[in-house]
Amino acid sequence: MRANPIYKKEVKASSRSVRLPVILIAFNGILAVAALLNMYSVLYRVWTTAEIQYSGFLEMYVLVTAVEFALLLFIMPAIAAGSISGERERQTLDLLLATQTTPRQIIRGKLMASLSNMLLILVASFPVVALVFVYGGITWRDLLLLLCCFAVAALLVAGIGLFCSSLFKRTILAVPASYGGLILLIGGTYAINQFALSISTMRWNSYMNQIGSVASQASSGGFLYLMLFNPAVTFYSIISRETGADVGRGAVSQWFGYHETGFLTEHWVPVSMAVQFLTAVFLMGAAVRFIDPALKRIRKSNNKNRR
Amino acid sequence: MLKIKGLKKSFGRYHALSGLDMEVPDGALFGFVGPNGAGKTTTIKIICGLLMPDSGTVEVGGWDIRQDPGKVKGMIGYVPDYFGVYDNLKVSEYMEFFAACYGLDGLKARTRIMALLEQTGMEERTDFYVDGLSRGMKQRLCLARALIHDPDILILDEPTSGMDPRSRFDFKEIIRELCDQGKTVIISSHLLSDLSEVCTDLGIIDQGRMVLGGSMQEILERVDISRPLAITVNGPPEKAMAVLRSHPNVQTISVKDTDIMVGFTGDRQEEARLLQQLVDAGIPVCGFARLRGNLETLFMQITDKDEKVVLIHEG
Repeated sequence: MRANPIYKKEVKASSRSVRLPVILIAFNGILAVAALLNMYSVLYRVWTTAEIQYSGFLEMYVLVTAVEFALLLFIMPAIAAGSISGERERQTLDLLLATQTTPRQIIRGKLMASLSNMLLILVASFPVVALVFVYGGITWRDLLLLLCCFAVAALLVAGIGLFCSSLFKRTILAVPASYGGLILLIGGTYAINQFALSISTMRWNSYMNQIGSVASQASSGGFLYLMLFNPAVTFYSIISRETGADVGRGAVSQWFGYHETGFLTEHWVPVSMAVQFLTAVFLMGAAVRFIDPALKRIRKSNNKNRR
Repeated sequence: MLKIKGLKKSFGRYHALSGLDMEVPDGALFGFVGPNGAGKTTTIKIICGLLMPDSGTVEVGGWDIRQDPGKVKGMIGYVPDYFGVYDNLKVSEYMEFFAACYGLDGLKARTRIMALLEQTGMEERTDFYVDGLSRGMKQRLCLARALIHDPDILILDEPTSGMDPRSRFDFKEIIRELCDQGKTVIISSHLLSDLSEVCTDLGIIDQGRMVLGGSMQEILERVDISRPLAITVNGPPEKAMAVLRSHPNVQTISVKDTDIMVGFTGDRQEEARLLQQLVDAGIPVCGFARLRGNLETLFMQITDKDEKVVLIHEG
C-alpha cells in the first residue's frame, strides 16, 4: 500500500520543526511535575503519620491521567487547526488540489499527521504514567481503555480542528474557533444540562408545594444525552469506574437529577466513544466538502435551488 | 487539446466569466492576455479543477473537467502566479512530494526529478532548502514541479513577473523547448512583448469574454490594419479635429495629451494628402507618423476604456 504523500511530508516537516520537541518537553514536564508533587505529598503523609494510604496512589493515577487528558485537549487543536489554513496561507492548497491527490486524501494525511504527533506525545509520557504501576491498583486493561478514550478524544478534537481549519482561511481564526468549539462541546453540554436541571427543579418545587411532600424527580431530561458528545465526561466515567468511585452504575446519570437507568446509561463509555468517533468522522467529511472545489459547487447550486 | 464553450462563473453579483469560448490547438504556445480582472485566473483555475464553473464546458484532451477531474488533472501542469513552497523541505524533497501526489515514487520518480531539475537548471541545488532559493530559482522549481507527471498541457499564470531580464530570457527558452517537445503551453501574462516573441496563438479576454483569438499571424495582420496615425499639433487640437472629422478615411479619433490618435484607412499617398490638408488649413503640425503596430497597441485598443474614442464612420 502506498503511503499517503501528505502524511509523509508532514512527518518529515514536523521532524525538522522546533515545535514538536517544545511540545514534548512542555507536556512531559507538566505531567512529571504533577506526578512527582503528588508522590511527594503521599510520601510526606507516610513520614508524618507513619501510615500508608494506598488511595493516595490512586489519586496520583487520577491526577496524572487528568493532566494528560487536559493537555491532550489543549494541544490537539493547536496541532490540527493550522493544518489546512496553513496550506492556504502558504498558497500550497491549490497546488495540492491541482494534483491527482483527492481532498479526502489531503484531510486523511493531515489527520494522520496530527494523530501521530499526539501519539508520540502520549507514548513519550508513558514513563510518567507508569509511576502508578509501582504501587499497583491499576491494570493494563484499565490503561488500555483509557488509551482508547484518549484516542477517540484526540480524533474528535482533531476533527474539530480540521473542520475549523477548512472553514476559516486564516490560522489565526481557525485556532480560536477550534478552542471555542471544544469549550462548547465540553462546557456547553454541561451548562445546558445544568440549566435544564435548574428549570426542572423549579417546576418540581412548585409542584411539591401544591401537593405536599413527594420525592423530587427533577432532571435535565433528554439533554443528558448531549453529554455523549463530551469527551471529558467519557474520561470521567472511565476514571471513576477504575478508581471505584462509581461501581456498576452510570456515573453521568446521577449528575443531573433523576434519570432512569437504561442501555445508554449502563453502557455510557462505549456508546459515548462511538458517538464521538462518528462526530469526528462527520466533521472530517465536512472538512473535505469545504476544500473540494467540485463539492463546493454542488453545495452552492443546492442553495440556489432552495432559494 | 483544450476546448471551452460558454463558460460562466460568478462570485456573488460579480460576473467573472460571461460565456467564454476558447480553443487551444494541440502543441500550441498560447498567450492568454487581458486586463486585470478580465477573468484570466478564474479561467485557469477552472481548467485546473480548482473552481467549478456555473455553466459551460471545459474539455481537455477530450475529457470533461466535471466528469473526469482526475484524468484532466493528470494531463495538466499548473504554475500559478505565486510559488507555494514549504519552509522545511529541500528541493529534491519538494519534488518527491509532488511526484508522490501524482502517484510517482521510487526510482521512476527520482529519475524524472533529476531530469527535470537538469532541464530547468536546478541540478546543483537539489540539497538547498526551497525557502532559501531566489525568486527566479523558485519559479524554475515551480516549473519543474508542474512537469513532474509529464503533462500534455502546461498552464503558466504570470510566469515571468518579477524576474530579471536574464532569468526571463532563460525561462522563455525553457518554454520554447517544452513546446518543441510537443507540449501545449498556455501562458497568461501582461508582458505582451514576451508573448509576441514566443507564442504561436493568442487569446485576448476582457470582461469575461474572449474578444480576440487566433493564430499569432492572424492577430498581427489585424494589428497592421489597426495601426493609428499619431498627429501632434502645436496648440489646441480642436481645429485639427474638425479637419480630421471631415476626412472620409478617418475612422476614429482619440486625444491623448497633445497627441491626436487617428484610425486611418489609407495608403501612404492618402496620408500625405491628409497632412497637406492639415497644413493648408493653417494647423501647426509638429508630428505626423504611423504608430508602429504591436500586440500592445492592439491590446490597448481592445481593452482601454478610458481613452476618449470618437467613432466617425462605421463599417
